[in-house]
Amino acid sequence: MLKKKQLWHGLSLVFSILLCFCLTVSIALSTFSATIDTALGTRSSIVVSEDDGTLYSTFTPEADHLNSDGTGNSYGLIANAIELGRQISAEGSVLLKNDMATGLPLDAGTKITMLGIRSEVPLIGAGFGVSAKGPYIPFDEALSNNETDFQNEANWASTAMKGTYATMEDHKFEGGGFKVNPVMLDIYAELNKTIGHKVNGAITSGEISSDNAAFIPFDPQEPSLADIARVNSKYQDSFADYGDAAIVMVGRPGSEAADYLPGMVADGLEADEPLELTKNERDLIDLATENFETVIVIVNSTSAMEIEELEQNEDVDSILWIGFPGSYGFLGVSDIISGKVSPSAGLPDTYAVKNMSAPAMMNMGDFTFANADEITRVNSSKYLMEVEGIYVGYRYYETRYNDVVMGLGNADSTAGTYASTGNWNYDEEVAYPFGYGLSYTSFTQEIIGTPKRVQTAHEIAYDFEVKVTNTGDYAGKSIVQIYGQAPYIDGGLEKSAIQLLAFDKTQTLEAGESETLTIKVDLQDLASYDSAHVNADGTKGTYVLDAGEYYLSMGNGSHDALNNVLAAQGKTTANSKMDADGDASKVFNYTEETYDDVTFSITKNDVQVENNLNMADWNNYEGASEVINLSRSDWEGTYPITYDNLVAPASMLDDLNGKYYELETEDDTSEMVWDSDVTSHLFFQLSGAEFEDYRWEELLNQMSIEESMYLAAYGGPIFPSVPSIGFVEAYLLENCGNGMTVPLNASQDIAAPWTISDKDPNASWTPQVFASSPTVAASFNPDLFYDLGKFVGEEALFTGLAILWGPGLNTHRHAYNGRNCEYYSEDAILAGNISMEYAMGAATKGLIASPKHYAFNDQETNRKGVAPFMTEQRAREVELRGYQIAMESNKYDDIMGKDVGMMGLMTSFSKIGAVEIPASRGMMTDILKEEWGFHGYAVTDIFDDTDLYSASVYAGITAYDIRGASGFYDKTSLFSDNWFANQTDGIKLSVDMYEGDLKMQQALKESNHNTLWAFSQSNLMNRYNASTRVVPQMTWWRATSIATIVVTGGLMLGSIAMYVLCFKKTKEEEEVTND
Amino acid sequence: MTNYLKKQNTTFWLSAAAILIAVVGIVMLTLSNGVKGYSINSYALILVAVIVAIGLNITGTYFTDKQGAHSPIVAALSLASVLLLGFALGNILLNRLVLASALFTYDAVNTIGWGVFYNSIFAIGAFLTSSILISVSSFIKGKN
Repeated sequence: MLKKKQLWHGLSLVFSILLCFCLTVSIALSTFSATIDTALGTRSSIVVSEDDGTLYSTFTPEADHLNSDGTGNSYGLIANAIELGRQISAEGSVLLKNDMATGLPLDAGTKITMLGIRSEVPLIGAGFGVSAKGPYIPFDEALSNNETDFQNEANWASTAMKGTYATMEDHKFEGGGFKVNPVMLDIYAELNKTIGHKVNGAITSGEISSDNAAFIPFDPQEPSLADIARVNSKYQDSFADYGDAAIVMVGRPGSEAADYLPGMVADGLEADEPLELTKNERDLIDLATENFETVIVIVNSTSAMEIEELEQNEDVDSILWIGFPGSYGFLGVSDIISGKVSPSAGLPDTYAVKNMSAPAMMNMGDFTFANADEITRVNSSKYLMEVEGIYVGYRYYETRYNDVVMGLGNADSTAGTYASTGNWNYDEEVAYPFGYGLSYTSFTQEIIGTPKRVQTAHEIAYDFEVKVTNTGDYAGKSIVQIYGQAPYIDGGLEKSAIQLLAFDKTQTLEAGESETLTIKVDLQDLASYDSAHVNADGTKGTYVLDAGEYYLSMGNGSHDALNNVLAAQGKTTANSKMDADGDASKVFNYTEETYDDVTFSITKNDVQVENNLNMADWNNYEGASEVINLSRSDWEGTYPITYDNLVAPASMLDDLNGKYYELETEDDTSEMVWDSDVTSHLFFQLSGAEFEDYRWEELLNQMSIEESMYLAAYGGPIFPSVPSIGFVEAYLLENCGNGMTVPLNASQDIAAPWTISDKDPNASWTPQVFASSPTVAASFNPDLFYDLGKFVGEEALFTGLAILWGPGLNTHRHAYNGRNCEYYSEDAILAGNISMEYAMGAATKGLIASPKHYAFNDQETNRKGVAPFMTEQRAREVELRGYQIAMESNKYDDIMGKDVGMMGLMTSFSKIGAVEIPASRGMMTDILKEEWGFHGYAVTDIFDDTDLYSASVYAGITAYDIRGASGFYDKTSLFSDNWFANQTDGIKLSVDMYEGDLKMQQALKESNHNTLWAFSQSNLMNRYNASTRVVPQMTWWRATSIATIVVTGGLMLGSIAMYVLCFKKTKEEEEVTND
Repeated sequence: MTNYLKKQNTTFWLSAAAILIAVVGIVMLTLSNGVKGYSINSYALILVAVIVAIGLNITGTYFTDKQGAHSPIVAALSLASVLLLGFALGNILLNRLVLASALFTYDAVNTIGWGVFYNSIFAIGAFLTSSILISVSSFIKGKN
């Protein structure tokens, strides 16, 4: 039996273990309070300002999102979200094939059988990354019902979204009016209990491990016919009652942190590639065609699936591509199926017959430097050779087709042939071209007059007037796409034979109705980058326009536009290898008399262009083995080979090892002013101020260098306070692009009069509800892009966030990047214009959109630190051009009469060549700020490159994404923070480290200026005045944590006290006994 | 030595096991800390804490022989030892929380990170086990 002394001795130790545990948990909770607050809907601190009548007047929600007393109207907000989501899918779903007689649209009351596991568990968002949250309207309900029960767990994207939602009566809609076979839906629901598909599905079976140990073959897990029969052997009997039409859904998930990999498909699927249809999917198609007169295939994928066999299958009446439609997009899909809306979208990517035919696929996946042991910096031993150059997506397929027709460069050789039976043949290699889409009606598009040339010293543009007439029977919208072809000189600069330059979309035109669109075509987007060009000042590299014939052509996609150009050049199917005759009337042709290396040599920001990405080109490194870039002068001889096991040359090792910046210690920094009390500006007083406002310098001078270093380090979601200028610590931004990812009842700005309370029936609604980026892109509707950005800005007001890490702006290098779901298109012009519209719309509500990932996130494999090598021409024309369009926002300079542009950015994990992008002054300052005139918040990706603090700040980064950090200067100290503890240059961060470095002190001020200016343009200014301060709040989890410490501590001390008492008593007893 | 060991009871063996397991924990901690880019800021402090804890435990074993398993000195030494081990494992946990959250979300394919994480878990587990063994031994009568 335990003596009491033993007992208390033992208990004191037990309680001490528990006390340590409780203390650890408490510290963890405190350190990550921001993350916990978001997850639990609590607030550890609130920003408070005394109301002086100036608050919440700069940016306000739309009237129909407010009640009459100014409080928030969640019903109005959600209703409009549903309508917008519906519109995005109605305008962004692409009709690829259709027989109007036997296919779409379907009559009201049609009895439909849905086949495919995705009919029961459709993909509405990405598995990891840009998901769709909250209750969604399932496809079958959109087809057949008029309301959805948002309280039904079955309609939640995730059970983690459990919460408060309004009842079904509150969210009525007009559905398709169809009758849907419940037997098949029940079967698939039963099957999914085992399969476990989710509506936000991830590419879980295709993940990459850097050591190849975890390559897992992909399996879309489509049940077989036998699987269906095992659940209900008489399932086909139900076809009789629902036999008017079959809708077969096939899909592929998308997600961050995973790619599809060449050849990585599970055994037994009878598919060679992950995006190819499997046997089970084919069997479903056969089942449908054998049993139904009308067969519609819905492609529920943002990765280009290989669907040529569906195009060729005469029994498949219609193919409709929908991407990931978000929470409400199936209403729009239903509208198309019912004919309420005529489809009006165009594909944002080329759909190849075989995705492996893209030359980029020769260098996709996992590549490690052969001499990785010489590379000391973490995440720096992987590379990617992007030797396809500018020939990405349609730029490859259309250019090669052009050269086949023109007989150039052995384009019709067998090199790169995957689907052609003999030599390379476009029609055998491409199923559907970029920009292609069908409608229920027909349109004519006519260029009115001669496009007017607008030319200044550094601009050439053409203003097109295009008359669009609906010549069919259905009302509908029509996209006008204008492409361009610059003259190609054999052996000269690489050029795409056709390139999207501009686009617009009509309003809905009734049968017979016309609309004239005015479209500006900026030839800056057709200029070619010549990195070998010697500029007048001796530098190298600029944009040029060769002399010769230029063609600007309209078309239903890239291929149609190119055929029109070829027709204008006298080519026909009779005299060439054209696959269809073009329409020369859709082409405007003009001549540039002279070679022009002046017009676009100076940017809109009045800066001379020059090479800034020499480190991107592998061939520029001394000692590097040569790589051959694809050239149209010799398709066969230069078709990419796979560059495996390359040796990083000695001249590259310093770059790979992060040696980008050397700290100065002897500079005279006396000109730099810190801690100034000459002025006493407060941050809020610069609300809406221009970037060049003189007060910024004075404000920055008031700051201490310590405050400056903190602000340049911690870039969100929580920003550190800057007490010297009245900037308070607060949670100010979040992630995503298809909506804000914070529920209404977790607003970071609860003082806003429109804040939705916990008691609101829609309190748990999360605004991250819209379709994935490719679906948005496919609409080709600038007004819609703007409206989407504006609505997300509205969401930001309701969730109290000033900055959004999104949308995604990278281009699709190929179909296998798992993150293609977050990025718009293979075309930078389309992507850039979308982002521009989105950002400008968001800015009207004070939301700073920060597109990501700048730049070259071309695959998820090895995304952390991979070194992608490419020519500067490819870097600028294929990817950076999109960012340039968004950053310059020239269209809105004209509209608003002042220089405007995107005000935010997130960098990528990858390098550019051997240099980390955040540490690349070429990328972050020379191109981004100097050439494009970017001002604003430029943050790294999560926890990225924190070992390169000096180099990154000097390069032009304004802050780091350090998610979870809060309590700056106290709980979180920059100078002992683990994230910044291991600097590559070996120099520990300290407040006086830049005493002798003038450039760094200037860079810090530049960084702070950009961040603070971005905030001054945002909805953050709604809540700021001279009284703004942070007030800590007790949360239930913090109170619980404190209580556990008190209890366990008390028990430990109590046990010790009892032990002492017992010891004394025992001693006394022993003394008495001895006596 | 053998005679000495033969005379020892459960308390001794539990303390010995606690010491050995703590040493294993040090090894795992060092392995975790030694990976490029994953060093723990307070590694030195943690190491010192564990070594001191081991030292206190050894000292406690000596005083157990002299004064019994529940003398005030032994009680204080064992309490200090457990608190130091608790400090160590708590520190490791806090240092690796962000890594863990990354591995379970956006950085799931980081095999190097997983290795660091598992070594950290083993270190935490070792120090926790060591604490528990010391605590268990404190309930045992031992030599008086």
